[in-house]
Amino acid sequence: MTDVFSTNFSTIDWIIVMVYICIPVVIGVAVRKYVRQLSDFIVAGRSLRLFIAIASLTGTELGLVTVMYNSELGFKHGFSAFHVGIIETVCILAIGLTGFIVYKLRQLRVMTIPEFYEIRFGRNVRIIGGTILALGGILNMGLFLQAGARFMMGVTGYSNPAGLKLFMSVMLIMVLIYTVLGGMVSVVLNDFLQFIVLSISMIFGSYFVISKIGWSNLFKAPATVDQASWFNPVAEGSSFGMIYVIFMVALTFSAGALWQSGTLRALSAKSPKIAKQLYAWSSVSYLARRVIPMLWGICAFIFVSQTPKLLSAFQGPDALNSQYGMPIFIAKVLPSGFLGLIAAGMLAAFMSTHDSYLLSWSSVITQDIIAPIKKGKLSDKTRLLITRISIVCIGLFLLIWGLWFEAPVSLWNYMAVTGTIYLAGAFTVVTAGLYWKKASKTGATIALFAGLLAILGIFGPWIGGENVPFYLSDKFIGIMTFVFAILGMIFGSLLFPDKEKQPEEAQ
Amino acid sequence: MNWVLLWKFILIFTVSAYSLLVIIVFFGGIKNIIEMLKELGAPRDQNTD
Repeated sequence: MTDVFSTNFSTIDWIIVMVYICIPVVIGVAVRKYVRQLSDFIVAGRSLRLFIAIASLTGTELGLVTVMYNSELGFKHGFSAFHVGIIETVCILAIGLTGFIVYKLRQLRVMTIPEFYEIRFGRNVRIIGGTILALGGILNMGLFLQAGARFMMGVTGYSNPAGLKLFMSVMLIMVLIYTVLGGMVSVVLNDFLQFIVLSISMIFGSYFVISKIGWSNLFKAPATVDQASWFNPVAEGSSFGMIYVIFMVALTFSAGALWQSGTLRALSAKSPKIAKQLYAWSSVSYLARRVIPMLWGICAFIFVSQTPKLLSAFQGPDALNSQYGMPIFIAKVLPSGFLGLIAAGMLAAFMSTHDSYLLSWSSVITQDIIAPIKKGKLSDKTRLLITRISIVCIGLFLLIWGLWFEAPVSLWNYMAVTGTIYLAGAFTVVTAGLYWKKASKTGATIALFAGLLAILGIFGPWIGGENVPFYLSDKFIGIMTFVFAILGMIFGSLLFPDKEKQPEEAQ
Repeated sequence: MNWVLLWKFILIFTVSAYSLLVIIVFFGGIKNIIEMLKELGAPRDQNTD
């Protein structure tokens, strides 16, 4: 096992990482004076211009966990995994060109998605929607720390689990400090810095990994895999298949428009037009966040398949988790110094995702659950305090859930299913609310609850064990959750229309 | 369908387009940050929102 975890990571790399992770805390403290009211904290006073918004959106949506699950997809499925990136890019570009959902939401000046639920469907729908969003979102973050720990283990070769738990806990505490202090202003400035560092690391890192494998070897499927399904996602025998592709269309389109942490950037934009442009420009970032880590995963698998000792470590009953593939690979092929920059970039990605997600879900708890229950009788100061307390509480939950809970499903499955809990209902409710006059409270409530069906995708295989064909049940449940949410909205609205006219029509 | 050719094109396009985006966002972003901090630092009516 020592050979497997051998690494080029040295003292100079540790110094680079340690110096780098102190910078965000300094920024958090420095910008505290700019946070004077709740909208400064949550949506940066709606002052985001185009380029800083692009950096911030990319910084948020390109996390360490994103790199890990995409490289895992590349490691396991080869180039066929690229289809997820293509689908996502087309969806984001379509949203950017048409302004579908995001333009109207920004026009309404809402700060969270459930705020729209109240405008269109009333307070109760907002509380239900907010609760489901917070549930799905916080669960979705549940494995971030674990993935981060695996990355650090692979790259640094530091395989003492207790030490890593401590290291990741310290990272999380630093994120908590600067998010609690600076809110969105601090988050966007750090996102900018992290976007630059991470992007440069990824671009140069790609050059190194391709150089190691060789351009022509890169496009030859290793002998140990099925040749057709390495390239073709709908080939016979592929783990993906057509149902999976359809599920990805539904998931990435709805996530593109309505994933709270990403949409928050559109809602923070200076104008609805900038919100729209943000998506069009960011489609390139969305492609890169998928394709580049997948490329690293593919190179890692080719490297592993050419190294018998490594290949045996990833095979058999005691096989290493496939998430280790990419970090173990880059630890062996990237030079010291650059490896430190990559690790710093990835940890930056870890922090930028955490800060935005913490801010997103804590805003939802304050604005969409507690404030509506208190019937809006909360001052800005109290809301800010509740938001900050929520950030700390979510952080504590993440420490317990993420570090000490081992999910027996793959990282991307877990992310897709927990995301669907919220997205299936939210996408249906927001789309119908904005574009269908007959959409009613009952329809919205049924659609939101239908999203909870996705939980079956998590718990089913946990009960069934390793031999259950989870991928099949997962993608099927994912698609069916969207279908039930849409049907729930249509039949609920037609059978139980709203009796009185809404006080403020979204149209 | 030639999958290898498609993925080669996607890979080259992604790395090139992303590199260009990073350069544009770097320079545009610095300008944006200065404007944003100026705006947030300016005196405001507390009831604006």
